[in-house]
Amino acid sequence: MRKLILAGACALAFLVPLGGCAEVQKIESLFSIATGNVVPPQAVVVAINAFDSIEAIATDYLNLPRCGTGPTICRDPAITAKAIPLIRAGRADRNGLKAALRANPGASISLVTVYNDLGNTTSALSALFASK
Amino acid sequence: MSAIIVQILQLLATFLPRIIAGASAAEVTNIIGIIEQAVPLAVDVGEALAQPIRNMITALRSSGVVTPAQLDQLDTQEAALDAAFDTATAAATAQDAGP
Repeated sequence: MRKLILAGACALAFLVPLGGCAEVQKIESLFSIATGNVVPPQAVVVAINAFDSIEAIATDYLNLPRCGTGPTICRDPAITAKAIPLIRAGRADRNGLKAALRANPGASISLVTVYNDLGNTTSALSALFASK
Repeated sequence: MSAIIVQILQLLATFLPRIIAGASAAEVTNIIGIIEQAVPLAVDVGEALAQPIRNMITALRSSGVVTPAQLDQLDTQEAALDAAFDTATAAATAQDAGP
């Protein structure tokens, strides 16, 4: 399984201009920033699901035993304390975006700041869990 | 294994500006190809992680119109995600408050 994961990571590395596994691991927060007046619904749905993915990862992390209690795979209370408010902030943005999609069926939405906030939150959480 | 998924999400983030700008069909195909590689890894982690990743692929393959049914599905997905996160948060917070 480990070989498979490494192969997958390397395969992904070749798909980006940077190339190489080491470079992939260096990628930091790169979530897109919308600079226009509206965001297309397709991009909003992708951003919402990216946040949902990281919420699932955060939940798995919080379910680990606290570090210092024995197991080597463990949860750092400092990371826990950072992740919880980020997830809650992301949820509020996510729910606002969904409400805007419902209110404007098929149309791009104007909540650019909220979209960008959700992207920044997802990036911050990704950075938090990237090495875990 | 989650670290790989996080890296895939970060890679995806590099392509989202292209989606906003109006990516070509070939670019969208490449983006979908990247995300598709995450699905089997995500399935090993759990359905809570796999479903949002499948949804991203569906959204990218779509014409861009989000249907009410898709939003209802998101509501269901997120109710479960939020409940699981809240349960984990309560347990972790209680543990961290203890000795």
